[in-house]
Amino acid sequence: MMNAKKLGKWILLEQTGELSTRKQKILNACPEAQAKRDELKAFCGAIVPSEAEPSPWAVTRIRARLKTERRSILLPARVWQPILALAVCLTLVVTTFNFTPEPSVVSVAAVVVGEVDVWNVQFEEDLVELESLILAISGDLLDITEM
Amino acid sequence: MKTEKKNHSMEADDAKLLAAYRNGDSEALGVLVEKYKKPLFGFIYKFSEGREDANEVFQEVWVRAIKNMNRTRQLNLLSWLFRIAHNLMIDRIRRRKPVVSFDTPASEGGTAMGELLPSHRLGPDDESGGHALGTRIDAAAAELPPEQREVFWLRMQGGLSFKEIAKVQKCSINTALARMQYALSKLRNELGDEYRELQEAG
Repeated sequence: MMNAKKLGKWILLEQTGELSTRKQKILNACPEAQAKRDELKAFCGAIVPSEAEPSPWAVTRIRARLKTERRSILLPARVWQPILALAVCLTLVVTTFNFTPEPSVVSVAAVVVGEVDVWNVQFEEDLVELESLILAISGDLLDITEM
Repeated sequence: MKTEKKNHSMEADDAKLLAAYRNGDSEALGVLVEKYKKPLFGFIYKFSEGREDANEVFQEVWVRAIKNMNRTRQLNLLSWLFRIAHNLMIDRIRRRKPVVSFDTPASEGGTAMGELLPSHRLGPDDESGGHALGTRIDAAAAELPPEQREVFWLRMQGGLSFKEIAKVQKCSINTALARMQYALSKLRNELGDEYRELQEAG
């Protein structure tokens, strides 16, 4: 003989198809089971499930809300796009600056040598010009003394 | 009530409809809402403050379900919808929770708040209706503690199995079964003679 509580639980599980085969066999052999089954069946039969239905516009409203919420998720992205673009530009600028080779000792020396060379050429030219001027003057002086 | 087996066979169809909706077929959502509107809305209606309120909750349940569907892989859409409805209703009950007791008069010599609220008990006009016993059961169920009331309607209105009810209420199957048994026992006592007449007629 099964206790009333257990019997009640098993009858409820039987109703939903959740009772195992082994328990079902035990329940079938229980003499009080049928009376309990009938009681539950009669009670369930008396319950009138609610016939209330949602508004005919429910689907339209749900669709509209989903669309709005999707848009509100996308909107910040739209706001972020120019900021993101600006950030990319800044990054590019910064990295370009970083990648510009800093003047090394060799290049500084090369520049200095180059400048010295340029200076030497100019100096030599000046010297040659000065020399020729002196020569010209001295030639003139000689001519004067000869006179 | 052999609805459980039917519910499980719906899973593939639901997945197809959800996939179709995600791919831009807005009609697929309409098919899903139509399919589950009766058990879901009926259940929400039992716990809400009128049709307008029930409509709001119903829409919110669907919006949340669709939004979070990608995050969680749900095997059974209906029990997933009931779970969201359960969470929403808990939030609403918490928000509505009164600071003072229903039995405490608002002022000295005043009326208690409980007396000002509409009673779930039936008036003489309600009792003369066509579904008299059904309406009496509704009214008696409204007096049950929230957990028991929820199990009762999840089973009777939603057609959920006890495994699914346990998932919705985040409790064990045994707890869900015990709550159902308590609910049935209380309703039996509340209905009294009518229950006995029902059993004799059945």
